[in-house]
Amino acid sequence: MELRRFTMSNPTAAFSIIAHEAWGHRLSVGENDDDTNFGDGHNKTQRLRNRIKRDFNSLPEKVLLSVFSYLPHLQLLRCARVCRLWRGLSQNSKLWKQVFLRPEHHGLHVKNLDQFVPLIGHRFALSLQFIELPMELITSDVLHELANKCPNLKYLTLDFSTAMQLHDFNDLNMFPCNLKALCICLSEVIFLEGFMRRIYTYLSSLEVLQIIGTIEKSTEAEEEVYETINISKIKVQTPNLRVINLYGIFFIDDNHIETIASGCIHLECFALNFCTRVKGTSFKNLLQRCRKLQCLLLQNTGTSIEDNYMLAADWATSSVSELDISSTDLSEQCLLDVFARMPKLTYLAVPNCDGFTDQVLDLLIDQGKLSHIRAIDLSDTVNLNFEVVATFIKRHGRQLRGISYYGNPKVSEQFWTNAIKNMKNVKIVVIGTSFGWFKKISTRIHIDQILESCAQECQNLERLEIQWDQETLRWNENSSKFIDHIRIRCVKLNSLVLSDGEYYELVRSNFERADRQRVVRTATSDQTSIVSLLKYYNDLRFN
Amino acid sequence: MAGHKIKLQSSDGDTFDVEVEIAKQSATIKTMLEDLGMDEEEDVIPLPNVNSAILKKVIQWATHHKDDPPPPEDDENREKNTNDISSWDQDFLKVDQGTLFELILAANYLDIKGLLDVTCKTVANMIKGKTPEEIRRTFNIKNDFTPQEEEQIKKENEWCEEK
Amino acid sequence: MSQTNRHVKLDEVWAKLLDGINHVYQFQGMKKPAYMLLYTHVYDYCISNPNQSRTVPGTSRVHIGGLSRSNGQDGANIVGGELYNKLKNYLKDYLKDVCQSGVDLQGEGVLRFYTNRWEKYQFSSKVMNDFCSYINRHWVQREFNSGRKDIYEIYTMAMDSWQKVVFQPLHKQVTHACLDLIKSERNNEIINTRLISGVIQSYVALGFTEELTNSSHITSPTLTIYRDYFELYFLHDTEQFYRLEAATFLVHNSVTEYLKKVATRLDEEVHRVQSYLHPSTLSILIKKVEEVLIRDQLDAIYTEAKKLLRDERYQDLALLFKLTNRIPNATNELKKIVENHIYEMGINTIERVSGTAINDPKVYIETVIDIHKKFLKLVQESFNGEQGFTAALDKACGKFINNNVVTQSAGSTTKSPELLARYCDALLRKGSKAVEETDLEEKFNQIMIVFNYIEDKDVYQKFYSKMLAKRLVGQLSASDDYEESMISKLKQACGFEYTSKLQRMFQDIGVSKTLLTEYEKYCENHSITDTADFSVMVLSSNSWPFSGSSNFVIPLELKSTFNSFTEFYTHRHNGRKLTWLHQHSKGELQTYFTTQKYILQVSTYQMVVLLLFNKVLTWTVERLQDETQIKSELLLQVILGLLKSKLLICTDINDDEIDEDFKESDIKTHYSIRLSTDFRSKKLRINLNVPLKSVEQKDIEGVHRTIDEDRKMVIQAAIVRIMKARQTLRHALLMQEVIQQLSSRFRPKIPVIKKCIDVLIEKEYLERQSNEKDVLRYLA
Repeated sequence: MELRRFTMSNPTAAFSIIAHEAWGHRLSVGENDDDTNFGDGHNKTQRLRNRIKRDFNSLPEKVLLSVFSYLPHLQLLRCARVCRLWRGLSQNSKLWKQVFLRPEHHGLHVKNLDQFVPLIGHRFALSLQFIELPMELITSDVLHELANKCPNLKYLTLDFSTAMQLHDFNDLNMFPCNLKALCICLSEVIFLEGFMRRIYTYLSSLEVLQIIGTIEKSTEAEEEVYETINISKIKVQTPNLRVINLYGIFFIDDNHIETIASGCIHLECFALNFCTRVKGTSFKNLLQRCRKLQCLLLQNTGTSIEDNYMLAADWATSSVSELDISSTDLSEQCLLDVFARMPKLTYLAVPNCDGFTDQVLDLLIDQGKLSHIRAIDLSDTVNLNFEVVATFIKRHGRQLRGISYYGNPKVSEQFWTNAIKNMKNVKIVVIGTSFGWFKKISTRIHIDQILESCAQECQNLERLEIQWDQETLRWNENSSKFIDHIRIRCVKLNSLVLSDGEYYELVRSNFERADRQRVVRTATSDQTSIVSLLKYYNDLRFN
Repeated sequence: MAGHKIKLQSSDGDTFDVEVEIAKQSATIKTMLEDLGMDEEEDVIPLPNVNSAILKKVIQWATHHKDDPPPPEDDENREKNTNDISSWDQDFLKVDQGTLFELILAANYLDIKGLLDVTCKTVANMIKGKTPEEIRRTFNIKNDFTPQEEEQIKKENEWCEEK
Repeated sequence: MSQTNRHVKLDEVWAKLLDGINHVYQFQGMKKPAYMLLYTHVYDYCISNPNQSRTVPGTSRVHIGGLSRSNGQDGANIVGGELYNKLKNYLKDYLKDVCQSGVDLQGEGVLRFYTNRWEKYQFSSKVMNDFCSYINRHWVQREFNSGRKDIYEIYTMAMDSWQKVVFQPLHKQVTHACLDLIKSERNNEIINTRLISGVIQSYVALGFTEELTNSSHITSPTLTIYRDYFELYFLHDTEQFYRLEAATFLVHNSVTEYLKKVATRLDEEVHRVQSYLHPSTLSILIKKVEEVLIRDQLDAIYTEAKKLLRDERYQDLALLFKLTNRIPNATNELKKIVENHIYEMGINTIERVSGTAINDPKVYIETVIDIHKKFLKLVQESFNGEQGFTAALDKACGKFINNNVVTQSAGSTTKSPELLARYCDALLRKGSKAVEETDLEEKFNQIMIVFNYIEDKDVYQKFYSKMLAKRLVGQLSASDDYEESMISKLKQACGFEYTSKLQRMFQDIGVSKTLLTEYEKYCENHSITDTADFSVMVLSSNSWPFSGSSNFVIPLELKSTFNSFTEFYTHRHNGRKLTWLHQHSKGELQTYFTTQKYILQVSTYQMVVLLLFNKVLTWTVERLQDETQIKSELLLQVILGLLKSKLLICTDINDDEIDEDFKESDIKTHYSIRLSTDFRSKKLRINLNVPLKSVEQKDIEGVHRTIDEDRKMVIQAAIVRIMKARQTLRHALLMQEVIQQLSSRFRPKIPVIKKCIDVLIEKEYLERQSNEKDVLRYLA
């Protein structure tokens, strides 16, 4: 749209009139209120007015809501008890768009179901977009209420993981029908069909489906595996899925994948992490049918994926550009063949892959497969020498947003000070080797030099993890200077993970003194990974 | 237009020369300049809702952040994180409550999203972790509930009692 | 202003705003300070009330917001609604006046009025929207979030008001006036396009829809107004205009002229959209114009295409194609027309030269090449080299090359490959005038073009190998490099197998050379001195298209040579059998009986006969036969040749009887033949070695005869190969696959394939499935 400025014969005149009018009204207001005047002589009163202490409650409601929007729900409940105004504000449905109700995942703990149900219509209502329900809250009443009162609900998590017995769902006849994403956390022993068959028909809008297995809970492989949810029945109802995440489900095997491949032609991202029974016989059909598949995650599918199935798939015409084969037993030969046929990669994770050798990385570099790489994880690759990695970084480091390369005891600070020069745009870096004493690292690492390189080169650095333990690191009283540098220059750094010890304490206190709380963490509680650079990361998150 | 300046006048009559590019972080000023153009002789733009002390701070903030990327559109699903306040902003906002609130109001009035966000976060951090009584003390708020109302709220919160 | 919380009353703030708004809508301009104060008034008003209302719940709640809200527990009401309504009402009244002053206008007048007022209104509304922006941020957004759908941002509300108050009553006049202007422009008048673009811009800006998804924007733009109130009528008008134009124009002009006009019209319409309509109209408008001007005139266009082809007006054709190509599938018919044209031209051209061409490969093949060249150019220049047309060319060429007057009069489709092979032979022979080296390469490429169209590639192969054999044996090749280059081209086209024999023939020649030097060494070593000056080629019998010849008594003069070589060879290659191909051998004799010594170049047969005259000067034919043991028909031919050369004289025949019509059957066995002792010739070297007629004739017939047999073998082999892979297969599918597999060599005839299948069943390679008769099974 074209906007032209006013044109007029006498701009000055117009100005004077309008200004005069406006000021005149000011005056009249002032007279009415018997207090303020805008005239030049009244600046004193004006100053006085401005010196009056503002109190919190006098701020506009919009602003107050904005403040409250930064508070966790538990705090909002406390705020309701402050005063009448706060009570009203804290119950504003705008603040209840995303509701987390699983106590074990930092959510609210609903104790009284009867009082909770009416809240759905009153407090959440139209605003609600995202809700997580634990086992106890997955009832017909709750789901009916969500379906009726919350038409904008898009993301739903149903956590059955703690269930020992399923509620009775015979009277369930409504379910939210505009869902974009559904996440179901399975229980080890409960068959969900009794519930699922009531909701199949409501799932056609789904684009993202996550089913979370119980791998984290069980100690050893069960003697008996229960197929607690029927994948093929879900598939029939969900033709529009773009993202499927099957995480740690014992019973998932290639038959299930074949089923999915035959129905979900819009699939773009498929994660099978920790599904240990997948052998790969289905990959050929998967790639053939799901032409849009860009992201395939096979982390810790363990030793089950076999070379020849991998080889049988037609990678050449696929769209796959993001691949995670962490901790799989694919051979060098297989990787050479598969990578040679693959399109260019933007994300590659191969930690713990013994088959990922110098030759494989060489091939990837030579054939230009990594010319668009954004994130790469080469950690704990015993057959990969750091010289090749250095070549890689020299060639493609500039476009890297994330790199994880730890667990090679031969890598020294010299390697990284050189490498970091080529990684100006990197956001996530994981380096070092823990258990240095065990791996008998004889040389000491001059940590100052690494921090200094980051401070000089990587203005965009957000997360840095350095795994060398305290015995391996070399530092002294002057090290503070370098910590200052990285703190000041890398303003976006929001996580710096170090192994526990004196040096960690030094860095942490340095950051905390500068009011950068919670940036420095220990490796015992925090781990850094490049997964957040996956294109579909936001769709794949759960818990 | 680099270096081009406009004059802003505070409620108490002081005039500030501000680079246009810095002033444009205020969406209010930005749209005004878009509507009315910039090539007229210097008008002094009155800001009757902002006093000198606050306007000075606002300009200081805007100058420091002039090269920031434009703030993202208000994404409802964005994580509401309050620990990401830069150390400069933290230092900048180490002021008394009254000033902080005035800054919030100024940011709201002038529609400066970045400043509004960071000030609101700062206030949110002041609330976080406090009991209702502590909050009242912090912000000097009067408990205006009747005992009956107190009882009612307790009931309202029963669905999710604090541990 | 109060010291505690300011309370700004609606009436007060409205009074202040009204002046500013009036200024804005009367286009009196605005200065920044005034703007900022207006903004501040609105801001103060919006944030003023709630705090007070909170302290007195219940009482103030009602009067503040004006609009009661469903979700009461969301906290206090937010002011803005009343001000919003006041603005809305103001605009409504204002626009009513606007509309009033435009309602009686028509034509350009209404356009000038509409665009002028619109532009100003739009700008004023933008300014008002901006200084009232706090209402948008504060109240409108909130109302929207709590589910109200009839509240818009102030600017959008202003658009909505215009749409309801001004647009609705006026749009008919306005759209109509626009369409009139466009019509004038189509009739080549100059118009003020700014008037139209202003209207279009307005229609586009007026279209918006409420956002259904939960985004922060309340409305999103759509083109509904533009579509429903302008584009629809515009397209309708366009269709009518061009339908009429097409009808009238074609009455007085040729189709080609018409097409030129269409091209300009299309350009004009593109330019029209670009200069004052919305870009989204482009594709739909062009489609409409194409339908009316091209699709509906296709019949005329096709007729014109035929005419242009006949007249070879390729440039006009290019335009015709370009336009026709815009209509989906319309070029299919064009392709057919082109194919037919090329075919007819091909057939006719060949018919014209058929008299000479049937015996002159050069004329025939070069005619074919010329036709192809000409139409390839057509396809490339007029049809942009498009695949469909290249295919049409190929189809047409394939048809007329394999079946035309020449092949028909020869009675078989295999005439074309034969002639092509001969043409090659002529080029590759020593002394062919054909050509410079560079041209030759070009010629080869042309040959390959023709070759690719030939269906019976196996026939070509047969002839080619035969002629290659002759060139090699007779040492008649112009150059080994050319030969190899040609073979490699064939190999590229048809694969290794196709040329493997040709290549082996080539190898044999090389091997023979080394063999010969070894033989010479052998003679030296064994002190063999009584041999003639002798050279030999050893050819593997599989690769060469030669059959053993009738033997004869080797004359004494050659005996030792023959024997020593045979001994040498069998010694070196134990177990190999040498067959002498006398019909391809030759030698030189020197005359001692004449005063002038002549050197005679003769075939081995001639040599055998002539050498007999070393013994006696006169022989009867019968005796010659006895002595030489040459088969009589062959012998008679040899004798006839020698008689014609006057080297021999038959005492029973007059000299003048031996003319063209004299046949070997006229020579009787009792005739006596003597050496012409007074033989004379101008040349010292005399070549008597003319190929024997019968040999040549037999060759060609033989080739044609063996082809059928060979093909049967090839077909059978293919069937077995396919069945071995498939085990069982339906009859029809098998046919298909056989035809497909062999298509690079020849086109097998279906009855022949059937016969071959029967043969194979008989031989128990295959059997018919007992329950399903049309399924065949492979028997291992």
